[in-house]
Amino acid sequence: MAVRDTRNHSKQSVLALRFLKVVGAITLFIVTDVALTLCLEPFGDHAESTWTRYRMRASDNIDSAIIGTSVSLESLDPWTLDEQLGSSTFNLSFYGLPLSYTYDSLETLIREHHISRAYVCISFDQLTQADYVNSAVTYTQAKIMTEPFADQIRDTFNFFTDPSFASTPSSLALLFPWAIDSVDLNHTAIINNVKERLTYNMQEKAIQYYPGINGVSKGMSNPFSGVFSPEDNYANWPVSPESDFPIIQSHLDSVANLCKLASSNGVRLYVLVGPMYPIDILRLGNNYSHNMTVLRETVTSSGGVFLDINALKSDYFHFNENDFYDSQHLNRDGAIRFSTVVSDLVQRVESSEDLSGYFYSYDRWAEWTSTIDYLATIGVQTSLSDGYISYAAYPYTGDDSLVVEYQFLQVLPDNTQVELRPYSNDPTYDYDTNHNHGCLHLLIRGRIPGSGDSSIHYCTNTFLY
Amino acid sequence: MEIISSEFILFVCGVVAAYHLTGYVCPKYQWLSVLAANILFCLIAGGTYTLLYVLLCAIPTWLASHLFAKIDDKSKRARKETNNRIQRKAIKKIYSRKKRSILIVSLIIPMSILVYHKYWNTLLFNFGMAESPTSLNILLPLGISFYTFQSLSYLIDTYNNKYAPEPNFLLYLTFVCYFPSFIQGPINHYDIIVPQFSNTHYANINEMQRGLLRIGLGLFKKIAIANMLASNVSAITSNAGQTMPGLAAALGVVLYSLQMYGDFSGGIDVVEGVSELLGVKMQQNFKQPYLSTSLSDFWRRWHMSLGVFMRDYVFYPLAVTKAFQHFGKWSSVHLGKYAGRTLPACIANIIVFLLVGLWHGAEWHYVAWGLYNGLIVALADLCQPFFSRMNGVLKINPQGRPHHIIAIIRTFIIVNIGRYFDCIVDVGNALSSLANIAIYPYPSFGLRTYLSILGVSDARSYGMPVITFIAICILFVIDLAEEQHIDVRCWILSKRFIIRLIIYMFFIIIIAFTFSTTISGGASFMYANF
Repeated sequence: MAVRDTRNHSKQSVLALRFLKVVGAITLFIVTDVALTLCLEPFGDHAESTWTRYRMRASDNIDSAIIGTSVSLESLDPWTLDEQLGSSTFNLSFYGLPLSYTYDSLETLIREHHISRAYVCISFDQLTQADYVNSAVTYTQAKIMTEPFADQIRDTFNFFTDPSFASTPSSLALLFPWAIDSVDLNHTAIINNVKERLTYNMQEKAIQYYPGINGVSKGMSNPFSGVFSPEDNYANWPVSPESDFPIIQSHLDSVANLCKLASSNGVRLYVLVGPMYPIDILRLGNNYSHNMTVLRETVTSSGGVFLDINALKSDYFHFNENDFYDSQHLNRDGAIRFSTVVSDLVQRVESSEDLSGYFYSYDRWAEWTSTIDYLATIGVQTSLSDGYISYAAYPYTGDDSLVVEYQFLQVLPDNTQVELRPYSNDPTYDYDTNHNHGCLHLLIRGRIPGSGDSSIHYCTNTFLY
Repeated sequence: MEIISSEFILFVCGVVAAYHLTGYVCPKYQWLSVLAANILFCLIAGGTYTLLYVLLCAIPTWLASHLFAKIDDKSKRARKETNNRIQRKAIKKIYSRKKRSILIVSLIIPMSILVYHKYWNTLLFNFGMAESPTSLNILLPLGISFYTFQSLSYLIDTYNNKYAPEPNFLLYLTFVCYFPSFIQGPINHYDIIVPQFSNTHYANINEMQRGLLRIGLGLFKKIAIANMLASNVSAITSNAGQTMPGLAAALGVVLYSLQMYGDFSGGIDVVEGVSELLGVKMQQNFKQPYLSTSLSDFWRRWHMSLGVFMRDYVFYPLAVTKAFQHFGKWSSVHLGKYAGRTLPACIANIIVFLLVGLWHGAEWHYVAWGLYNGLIVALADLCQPFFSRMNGVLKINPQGRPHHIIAIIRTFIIVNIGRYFDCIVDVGNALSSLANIAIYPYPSFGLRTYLSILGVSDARSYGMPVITFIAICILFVIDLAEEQHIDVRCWILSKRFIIRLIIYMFFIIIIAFTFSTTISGGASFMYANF
């Protein structure tokens, strides 16, 4: 009997030891993961700062909100909107946020602030491209940092079971947030990051984020002053009106759900089409008008208000090329212009004015296209056959009758330029490789004859042969 | 459902818990929890129509196996009733014919489903009856090759009376759509898997630890090696052709080889690990293939379950056909005894590799890849006496270490020449890339610059991130140890707790550091959905 007891006892000890080892290993794993997160994950990044600023206004009156992705974030300026509309707006939008998480933002705003008006900018690409998990991770992480424990559990569970990611590796990203979003992997950056964590609390850090942009009371706004240059950005980007850009149905469903959530809670949701550089719209051909028609129908049938500023008639408003920071985002001045026109349209919508006369019709989209009656930029297509590299330059313009002349130059390794062919109306050029191998850097310039240097556009191409 | 996802982790945790709980509560029916898991997996990962295809494959093959048994019974009884030898022979012939026709019909059903989904569109395209090889939008049902091959192996084995037909259809279905092997194999055999389902498995911590270690090793190979190399491989091989320097293409092919090994064997490690958590050992699929000493040795170590399938159900049946036997006799008379014995096997090998190539896809580069492998294996067999004689003349000891190392390097090169036709989708471009090793090996402005213009990240380290290089070195050491019959998992588990913890943390951190590539590039396995 005594022997049996000893055996049971030793068996229990072994089991207890094993259990302790497992617990120890898991604890060590969690501690290491947390340590790596603290060291590598940028302290007070955009998502953390936005949520912190939002929580800082927990007891304030917020009646309007900007939600969505960077397109919303950088297009709509809450100060301009409030100035024009007398509202109290908070910008709770995040870089690359999937639409299903935008729903979560709206739900939070309705629950916590009973807002009555919301704006979301949805870009063409957002409807046709897969969700970006990194933003969902930083969004969820930052949100759970600032909320009660029960909500933390709910949001963590929601992330792991989110149908957009659950069946993909993205669903595991929340376990290693530092692996997808980290400071530069050098000791200076890591030490600085840790120092900042030790020096500041989250609120102090949130206030420092984008300093000097109208304070922190309304969330974030566009801090960028740069101007987008189309040169090179479109060099090898073929005009592709023939391509298909199908809308992902789940994204459309998310838009409908967003509108329904808003209308069932008495919130007027303005779904704005993200501002697009005119060349980009041109590049898409009829895909743009087709997809926007679908989006408009989804929004209006689900109780939202649809506004496409890109399609406004130019006598009312048109984007200047200087308004853009990149092809899909406005700079600060552009955002203020955009917000001003949105405020005006909102006032007109809310006074029940019929706005249809202000916009180009998607059914007659060629009318919009013909407004690009100038040379926007040029691109080039290349091919190799029989020892010749064939270049075919093409203009970006809505006016097919526009005459453009092209110059072809070779860029040597020391950056000197050698003219291969002077300006001529012929958009093609064949380079003889003499059946040798090498690398050719080419600069192609395009201009409208007789218009001087002001109309010159260029693109570059590197060809390995 | 991808294997690297929270959905799969939750699924496996649920299945393992339910399986072992059933083992305690109702040991006799423990396998039913696997069946439930299989069906659930089919539905979640592939949808209802995947389950339908599985049933379309399982029902006829299972019914046919029982018909075989019945026919054999009838044949035996009928033969017993007569003493006339000629009559007995005639009876046997009649029943054999019946059996064969049932075999053909039951082979046609799953094979035609497979062929339709895999090749129909390409076939029509080649005859100018379809716009492109994918224009008909025929979606390949999830795991179709693997469950079809498993069913066929059962069908042919029961036809050959290797074992009795499975009386329980549900148990057979559990084997056909066993979820760990469903997406990318290995191709299991009925007589290896089903007896394991029939036994009760109680949770065994050691086995579980071994299973988890195997999963970890698989993730390490897939995430830290394969996924890290994927974009660079694609940047190089998609541009391979006349204009690419030979060394750049060769680099792309070698990286592809490493990617492929990490991806495929990593994926197999994960699913075999999952199966080990259930106490079921599936067929081995990899055995340190890059330490092979000849191409035929390589194919005995790479995708072994497909090799065994092809050997048992294509090579042997072909080799015993009358045509091959006649050919063997003819060769013996005209070309000598050795050729008479070897030539039919060489032809059979070429056919087998051609089929393996076509299994990878109905594209010319796969045909070329299959032919290359078949021809090299055949030539090596044919030239064996010459090689032996040369070894004797040059006084080379084939058992010696230097010869062994040279043989490994030679085989690696031969395998990689074949890989040109695998990863470069145009046969002409593959040949040009090979020719460029001699004609245009190196760009005048440097290989690194060339790679960087091509868009290869890590061009400075020739497309190989440092962390991946470390991971490859570790994998090489593991393979060397396994080759020396050291069970690496057993070795790790025998170490002290602290040492083990350090090893685990090291692997986890490498996996986590390289995980972002998996997120941005997707985690689908190369052999998934074949």
